Amino acid sequence: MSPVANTSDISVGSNGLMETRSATVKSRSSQRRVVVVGNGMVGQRFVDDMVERADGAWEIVVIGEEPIGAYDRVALSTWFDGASDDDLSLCDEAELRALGVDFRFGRRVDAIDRDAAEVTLDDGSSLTFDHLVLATGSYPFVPPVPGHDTAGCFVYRTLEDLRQIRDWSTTDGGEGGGESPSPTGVVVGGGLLGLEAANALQNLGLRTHVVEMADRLMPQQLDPAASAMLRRWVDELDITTHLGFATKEIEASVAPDGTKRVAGLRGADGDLIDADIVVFSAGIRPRHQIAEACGLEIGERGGVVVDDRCTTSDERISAIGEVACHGGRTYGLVGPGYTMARVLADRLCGGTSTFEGADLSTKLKLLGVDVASFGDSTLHDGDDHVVFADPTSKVHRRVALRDGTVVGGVLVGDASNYEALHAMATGSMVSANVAALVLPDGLSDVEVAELPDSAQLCSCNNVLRGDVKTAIGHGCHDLASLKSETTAGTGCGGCMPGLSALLTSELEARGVAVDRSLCSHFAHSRQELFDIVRFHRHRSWTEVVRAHGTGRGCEICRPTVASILSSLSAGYVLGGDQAGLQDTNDRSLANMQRNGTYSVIPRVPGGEITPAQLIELGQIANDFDLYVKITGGQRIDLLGAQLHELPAIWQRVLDAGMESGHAYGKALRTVKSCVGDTWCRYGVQDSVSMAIEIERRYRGLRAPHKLKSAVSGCTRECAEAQSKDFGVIATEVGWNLYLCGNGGRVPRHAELFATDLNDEELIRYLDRFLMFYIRTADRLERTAPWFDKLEGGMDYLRSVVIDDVLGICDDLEADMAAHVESYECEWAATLADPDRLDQFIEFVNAPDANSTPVWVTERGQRVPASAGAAR
Amino acid sequence: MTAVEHEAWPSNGADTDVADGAGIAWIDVCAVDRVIPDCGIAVLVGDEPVAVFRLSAFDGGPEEWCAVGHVDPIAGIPVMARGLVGTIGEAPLVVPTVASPLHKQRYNLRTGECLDDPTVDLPTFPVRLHTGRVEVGAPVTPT
Repeated sequence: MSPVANTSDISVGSNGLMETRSATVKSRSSQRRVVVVGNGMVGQRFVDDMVERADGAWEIVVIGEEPIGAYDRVALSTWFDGASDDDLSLCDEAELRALGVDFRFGRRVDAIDRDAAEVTLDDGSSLTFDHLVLATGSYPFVPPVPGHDTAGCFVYRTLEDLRQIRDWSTTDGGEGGGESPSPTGVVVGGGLLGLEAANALQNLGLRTHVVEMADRLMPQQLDPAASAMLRRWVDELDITTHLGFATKEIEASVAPDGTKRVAGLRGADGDLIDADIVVFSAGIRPRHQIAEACGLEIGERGGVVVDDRCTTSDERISAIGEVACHGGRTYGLVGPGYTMARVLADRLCGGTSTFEGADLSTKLKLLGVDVASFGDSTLHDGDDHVVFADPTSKVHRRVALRDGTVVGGVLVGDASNYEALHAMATGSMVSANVAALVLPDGLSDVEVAELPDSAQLCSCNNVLRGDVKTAIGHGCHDLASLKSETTAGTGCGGCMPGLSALLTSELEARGVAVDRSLCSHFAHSRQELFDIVRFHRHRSWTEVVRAHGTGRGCEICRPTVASILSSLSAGYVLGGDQAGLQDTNDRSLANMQRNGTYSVIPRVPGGEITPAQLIELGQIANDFDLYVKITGGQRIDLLGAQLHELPAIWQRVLDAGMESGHAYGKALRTVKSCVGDTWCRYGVQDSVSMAIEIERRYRGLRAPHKLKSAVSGCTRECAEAQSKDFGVIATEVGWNLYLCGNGGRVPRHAELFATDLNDEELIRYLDRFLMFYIRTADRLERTAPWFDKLEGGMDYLRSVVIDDVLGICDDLEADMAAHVESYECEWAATLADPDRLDQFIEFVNAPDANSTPVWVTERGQRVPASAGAAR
Repeated sequence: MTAVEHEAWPSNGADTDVADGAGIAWIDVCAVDRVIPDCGIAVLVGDEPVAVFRLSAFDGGPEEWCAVGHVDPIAGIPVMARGLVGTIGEAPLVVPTVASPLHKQRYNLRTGECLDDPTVDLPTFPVRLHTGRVEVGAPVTPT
């Protein structure tokens, strides 16, 4: 089997859609072409903004040098911590291609011909443009010291760099450091990026050193005292720092075969630091070469000069991100780049917004340490400083005041109140209570005045608190919807705690309950209650409510507990004290209809039924005068049975070799199938047999909501598996599994989970998926909304179900095995017990009296009179 | 039964013997054990369908019995005994409820008031336990 590796593999199903939509787009004769050179974070953001804004007016072509789409460079070090390429991906390539964006990955632009308005690619092809966007970013600066290109020297910029670093340090580096327990990595550069790289080497298990030419770490952001505090943190992480170290030469060792490899760094004063791997992270330089070659104006310290519209010295060419030089400076942060992307997209779509420079304030977690600088963070003579410094907790917080107003500062080890201080330094909030704000979290009990709406919450995307409040007002009441609506928290993620706190306080202010309690009788969410019941092995309502709830429960918690008990195989659903918990339909093992009568739906696994069974169902309907309808799930619905008739009807169904279809339960309903390769000329697998196996395995499985499934025998998908909670589609060699779709009021396509599974893998993953859903979903929550709330989406679900990152798969499989083991047809169990049959007597003191619904005849069948009368 | 304006009958603890006041006829409907705790049963009192509920004891309180009309007043269909019982309110003012199985409107089992729709209510009936039997009281309509 091969779990789907990246989104580009999923395009098969959406091909038709893709062609239709791009055809629509391209048919516009007035469409102009924008060519975007570079697909880094800023280039990608520009594409996203354009797709959202341009409404087809622009054809978008993206040239990206790397073989894959944009990814999150800010979070690069998490790759060594287990994050996959997919986790870091920022480019929804399949969807954007479907919307007409033309991505050309693995290609570079070699030249720009401004007269012809044309770019030449490295494969010799050329492409004309109406507008050209340079988003080529920067390249790492490697100091030109002798030996800087020795094998074992790397830079830290791309995923490819990371792969090379990992490969070298796990294989070659290991050999190189033969006598030492683990190889040594040295990072050249003690700035922000250098410390990130050091974090990565540390994650790789290397003994890590950082060398910095200046006398302190992060010299550009931190003053000496703050930097000294940061160094205490770094020391504690066993990263060795060498300050004031000027690298004179990279020394190499020579193997007997003549190959050279890194051996160490020689300093200007003669000191040698041994090294198996060297990573240069001594700053970045704008990649403006193609702009320079075609004569565009270049800034004094590099970068393509742009004005407030992000336009270069050529009206048809713009530059955004790290390659742009605005007001004499280049920006190495993603936030200003994103703002430029937004400004440019707006202008190309007819807007008039401008980029007026950006504030370099940042708050981040570096090596796990909170570090922030805001406003003017450098020390100036004449400023007043309010400082809190505590070497024992390694916290240093300094705020600079000029004429009583906050102008900037730095925070190390504790970045609390950053938002308020930043708002003061940027003038969106009046400076007040500064001394209290400088105290770290927990030491000050001064209530911070409410931040103004103009204060920035997310610096990556420049989202203001007011933007977030507006979105909450428009109904975004959870983090997921808030993130997608405002883009806050989608960059570095550093503002997530602030976003979460703002959401909670806003919801409280609006009187929206953030309480996750099931109801007034249980102070637990359904998921918590499930874990509690499972842990304590409760087997009855009484046990659960006595130990964990209050009162007698209600129509919310009683069925929820009943469902949990059933999911955990507590036996007959009407046994013990469970009868009183069941909602109406479960209580009578049939669905109550509008006139108080019931429907009878036997299970027809996979939709396969024998002629004799079909005849008997017809005979039963005739004898009890039941209305007959074929359901959407390949079963037969017999309607109009009265309570007291149910046992006799079901006895005949059972005698015909059929069983309960659980149409009355929040449980597995049907597994539809096409006829498969047994009959169909196109079928490639036996979809009927697989559907029957699945239906038999999960029949009776109680869940937070109903579950539907289908199995198709080929990609023609006649069984409509992609609209099911779990759908299976045959391939030449196995089965593709799709999860979390549904029909109903808000239809959802299921998403591809894994491909080419064999039978055992398919069942194993289904066991785990279903139990994971049952365990963690909210009450009455179907798989699709449950899936929407999973942070990390399908990749996360794969990591749980396939890779078992939570270590719960054994439990999930055991729970499912217990279900399969203990399954019994509820109607067979009911009919076998005279006491249970008492529940189907309508009037206890008058067993022979029954209420008499009023019927009319419609198209030859009996239907409730009220419905007929209403028409 | 004619459309009598029912007063709110106090429901009774298991062994409390309410004096057979004027105008009440007690009708034996079934054995106590026939009623599953927290489940309703339907009985006929005369020709009137009545839903009888046995509400299990909790928090050290007594078991409680209630009887209300079996016909859902909104739909006009006899199904109330098949509704889910529950409680609302916090101690000491906990009120037992039943939710209609058709559209889930909740009714106060002691007073018959609909908690979700003030325009409708259920008639209520007194219940008592007598020598292991359940008896429902029916007002005797003066002739």
